[in-house]
Amino acid sequence: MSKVVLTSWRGAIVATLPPDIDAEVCGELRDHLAHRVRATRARAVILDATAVDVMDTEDWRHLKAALATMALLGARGGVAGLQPGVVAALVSCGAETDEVLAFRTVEDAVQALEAGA
Amino acid sequence: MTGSERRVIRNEADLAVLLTSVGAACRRAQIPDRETARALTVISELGRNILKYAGRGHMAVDLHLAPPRRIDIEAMDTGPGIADIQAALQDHYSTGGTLGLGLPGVKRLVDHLEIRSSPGTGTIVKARRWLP
Repeated sequence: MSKVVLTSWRGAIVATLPPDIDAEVCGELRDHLAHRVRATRARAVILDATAVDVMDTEDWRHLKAALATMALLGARGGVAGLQPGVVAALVSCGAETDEVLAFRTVEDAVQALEAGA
Repeated sequence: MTGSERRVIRNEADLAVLLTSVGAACRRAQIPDRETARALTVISELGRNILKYAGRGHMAVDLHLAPPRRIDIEAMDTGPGIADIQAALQDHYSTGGTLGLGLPGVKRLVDHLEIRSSPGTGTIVKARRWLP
């Protein structure tokens, strides 16, 4: 059973990540998102990380790759809802974050991506 | 009160179970969220290293709640070992085809990091973080 839940909201695809993401989840995420973006011609993709309570640098690299893949398919993307502790640990670990759009909430992300952020 | 968790790490599922268990113990002990996230990230990075380089190993996590509070994390494997530990602690050094942020990142996340390793005999990593 899929661990990643995909929903559509105001023309964007929202991928809700489980608390314990891993390589399998990230692979599943990229495949399912790519299929959905192509099928629906969605212009925006949001990774909802609200429930994620641990993310290491490899998970982050996989999520960035998923967003890069969606960009090549024509969908802008970003991450929403990252917890402060997760962010602090990622940054301390040296994860490269400057290419990723991040938003406090999924609603913020939808509004910003609709506006072309 | 002291919490202790020991687990064989053979795959991502084993690592996920350990992370869930330690996360729950930290929440029960009212460890601040930022410290819990920090500890879980360290466990995840070290666990991923075991899987990537050795295939399997063991991890032990001890949560000491009598002041001064601390969390001790130990990762052990009998994999190929690390030929140059100082180099492995440098950013962007990797022999595993990734960005090589694992051990340098772990070093920044903890207060004390000890690595014992030699080629062919495996690796033991001990990390300690003092908790508020």
